[in-house]
Amino acid sequence: MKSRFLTACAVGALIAASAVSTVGIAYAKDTIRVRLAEYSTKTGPFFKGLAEKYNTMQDGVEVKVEHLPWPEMQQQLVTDISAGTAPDISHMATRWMAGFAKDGALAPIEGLMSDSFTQSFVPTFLDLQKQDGHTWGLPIAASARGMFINKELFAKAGISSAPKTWDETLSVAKKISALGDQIYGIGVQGHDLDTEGYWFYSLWTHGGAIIGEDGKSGFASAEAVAATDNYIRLIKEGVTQPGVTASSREDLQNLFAAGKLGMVLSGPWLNKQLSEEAPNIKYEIAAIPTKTTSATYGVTDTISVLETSQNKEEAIKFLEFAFNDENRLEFGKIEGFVPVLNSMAKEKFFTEDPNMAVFLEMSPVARFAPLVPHWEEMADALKSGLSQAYSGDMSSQDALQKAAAKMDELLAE
Amino acid sequence: MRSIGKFSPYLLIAPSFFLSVFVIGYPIFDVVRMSLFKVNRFGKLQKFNGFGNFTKAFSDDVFLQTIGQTAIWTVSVVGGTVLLSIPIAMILNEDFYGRSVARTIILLPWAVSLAMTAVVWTWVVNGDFGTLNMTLNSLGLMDGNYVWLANADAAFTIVILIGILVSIPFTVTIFLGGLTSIPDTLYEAAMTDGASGWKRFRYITMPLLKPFTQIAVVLNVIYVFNSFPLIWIMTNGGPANQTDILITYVYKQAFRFGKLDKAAAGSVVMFLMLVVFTILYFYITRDKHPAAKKAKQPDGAALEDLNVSKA
Amino acid sequence: MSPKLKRSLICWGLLSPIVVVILFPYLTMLSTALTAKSEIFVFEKSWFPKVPTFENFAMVWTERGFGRALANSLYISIGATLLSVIVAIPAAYAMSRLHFKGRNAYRIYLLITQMISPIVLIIGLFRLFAFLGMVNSMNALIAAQSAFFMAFAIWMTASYFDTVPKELEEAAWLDGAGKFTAFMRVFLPLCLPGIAVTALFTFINSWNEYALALTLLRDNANHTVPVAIAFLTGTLYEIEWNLIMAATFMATIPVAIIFASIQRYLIRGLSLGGVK
Repeated sequence: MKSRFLTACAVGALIAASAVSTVGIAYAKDTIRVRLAEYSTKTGPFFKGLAEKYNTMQDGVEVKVEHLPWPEMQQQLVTDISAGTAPDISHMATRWMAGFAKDGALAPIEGLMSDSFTQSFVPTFLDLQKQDGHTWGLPIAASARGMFINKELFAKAGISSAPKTWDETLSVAKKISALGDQIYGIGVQGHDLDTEGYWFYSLWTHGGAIIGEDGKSGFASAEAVAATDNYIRLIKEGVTQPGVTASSREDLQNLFAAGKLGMVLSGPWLNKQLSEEAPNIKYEIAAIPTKTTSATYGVTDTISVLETSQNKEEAIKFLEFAFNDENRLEFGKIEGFVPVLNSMAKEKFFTEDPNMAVFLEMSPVARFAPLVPHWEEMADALKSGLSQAYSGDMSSQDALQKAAAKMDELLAE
Repeated sequence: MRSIGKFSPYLLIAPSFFLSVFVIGYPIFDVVRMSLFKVNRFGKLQKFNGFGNFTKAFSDDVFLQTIGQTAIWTVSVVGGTVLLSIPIAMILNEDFYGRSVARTIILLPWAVSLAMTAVVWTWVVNGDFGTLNMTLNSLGLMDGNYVWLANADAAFTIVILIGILVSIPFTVTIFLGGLTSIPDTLYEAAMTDGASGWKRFRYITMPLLKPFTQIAVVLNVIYVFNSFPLIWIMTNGGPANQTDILITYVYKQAFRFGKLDKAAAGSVVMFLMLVVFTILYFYITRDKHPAAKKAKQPDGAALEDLNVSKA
Repeated sequence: MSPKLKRSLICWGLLSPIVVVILFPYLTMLSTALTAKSEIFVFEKSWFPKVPTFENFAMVWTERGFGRALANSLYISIGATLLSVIVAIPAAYAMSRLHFKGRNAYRIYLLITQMISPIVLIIGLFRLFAFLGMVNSMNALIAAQSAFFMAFAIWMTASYFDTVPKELEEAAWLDGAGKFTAFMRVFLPLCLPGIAVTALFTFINSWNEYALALTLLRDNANHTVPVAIAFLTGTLYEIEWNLIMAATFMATIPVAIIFASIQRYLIRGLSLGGVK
């Protein structure tokens, strides 16, 4: 019996030992932990390189970079903040920022930034990080969207220039679809991340708005219904890829890379993918077609200092380093985003490449998703409504009204 | 073992008990507490909310819709799994050439984690580049590409079928364990009595497999009900929440929408559902007339040695 | 045709649909893993890449640190298996051989621990381990996984113990062996097949476990195989199917080999009827 008691003790000791051997987690005060989400497989190594460089440059702090993919980012950040083990600096989608700031997780940084640092940013992008009079982060990446056009398919279908309006788009798409051989005129996204973004292109160019002038949801306005019917018309005419409600952004990009899609709306990152995976595709980028208004979707991602950080000044110093011209140019080259610094907006790398320049040119008409605390849930309701409208399960009017009701309810919370 | 002290059984179970309490105890307390409070998106308690979070969950249409879908998901996957696993186990219990290869193949889905299975199948059923469409096309069974996950019914059917596929190895193993413990003499005796194949199945195999069926159903219901990766990775609950089940709903509420309180209430509801199911199931399938059952069996005496009957 | 040959044909015929469905994704995995990145998104697809390449395997192994993940997974799975079995054996012995008050309550308690998915406990689990300073510790993950796997290990071991006649131990006592000696020398060796199967189940569960590993191990250097593969799929703008398939294929092989080599014992050691 004694020995069985000993076994029990041994097991207990084993657990205790594992506890003791791992207390090394307590983060020293002079360490700055930076967490980044990956745009590509190069994101992590790039920032690790930056940290290494920074660590040899100064003795005050040691910067440690952790990187993980976007889908796990939100869960890990939430659990970390809830347990008090958050990093000093964290990357996030700007649309999460409002909620995080409201619940006290982020540090306002306007007082910590030098004037020259503040002024180095393109004002539109920095303004997006502000709310209630505070700056909650820096725009680490920005993109505008445009229409990618497969020139070869256009030539085959006998079309010489990119369509300017949605009506022209329909007739061009019809001609391209008529080429057969599983070639589709235009891609419409109906699944997963950024489905709502694909709809905003149509919403804004039809003169709609996400939040109406009355401060209520604009999801079910007359313009919104027209914007939805615009896509439904493309789907019904059979000029889109099949299975819109299962097509994610990546699916559309892959189809375009395979040379099977005449037109797709996407962002500058697609240049990167095309140059690596489909160097033979001849394409150009045009503005998003319009109905009444010319517009594009501007999206930024944010990098913030967390409220729990013991080293906010040092954290900002590191960010200042990460945002210097040399490092931002390198970042732009790796990930292919639109520049967020004034100095970079004039940089030849961006202005001379026609595939990048077009996004810069469209920036003035860029619109943004609203910074409201429950945006993720509103976007999800919209996404559900859209897939019901696209699949024909529900009229666009009914589907949008349901989403709008949900949004109004969340706005009131 | 009569001489062993009164406390020794407790000492023997103590390590396992304390390990589980140590790991699971606080998190359960945490979830229950969050379900009764208003909390912010980082789980900070704000104020006591009674059953407010539960009312909020139950007044959400998507939550109610999800409960129905969870029932369909669980019943279809577990039902399909058990119905397929019994014949598969019976075949694998036969003596035939290549049996060990066949057994290994049937167990193979178990060798891959659910997350990986989901990733691979997403690729297989991909409309444009997937191997499923490619194969069906080249076999002449289909013309053109079908986008399997575009339509809610098709998407749900696909995830259910894959759910069945990955539950088969575990379930077949349980039934094989049961079948190997049925002595051949029982069947031989029945054959000399002239019992047909169906009768042998109905009156020998079925009753003897009953405890195994019971455990296969209960464990599968628990695992399938709580199964997250397949649906999360393949459909993310879409299109339009029509393939969401409770666990994906709860996860979305917690980590996408920042509503930890509502998510905690949902988790508690999920737990209560499983408890109620388990109690009901064991009540319904209990041995109503143990004596009568024994009399029906062709060779009651032989069963005395079999521990399976005690369950 | 001999009766066994005939039976074999029937059996394989009946099994063939499910065999095809099971093997289909593996063939897809292998085919995609051998395909170069530039050949993935072409429409004229076939099962056989024009130029088969092992580059994807090499790339996953060297550049994406997959070797490290495999080593971590092995360490954690072996650790979780040992810990689960060590706590399960005494508990199973008590459940199977001793009558005590609360035995049924403990059975129910074990079932209840299975009813709660780690997914709904993520926040609490993380808070607990962060409070103990055990985030990023592989040993902590071993303890956490064992807590979830242990119930099953106890049921399986206990139901195997049930099948061993009491007389054997009692005979050993009569021969003058102490209780513990009898347990170690007579009882345990008899139960080895059952314990081995329990260990195998636990090993597989741990090998494939995702939610706890993702939550408790934050450092990229500590990732397990399922987490590493999930992370391969997670980059934002493109998904590298060729690498994912290569990684998945490699992760499957160890478990598949284990299955193939011990499936004979697997069935023999399994006796789950007395579980509840």
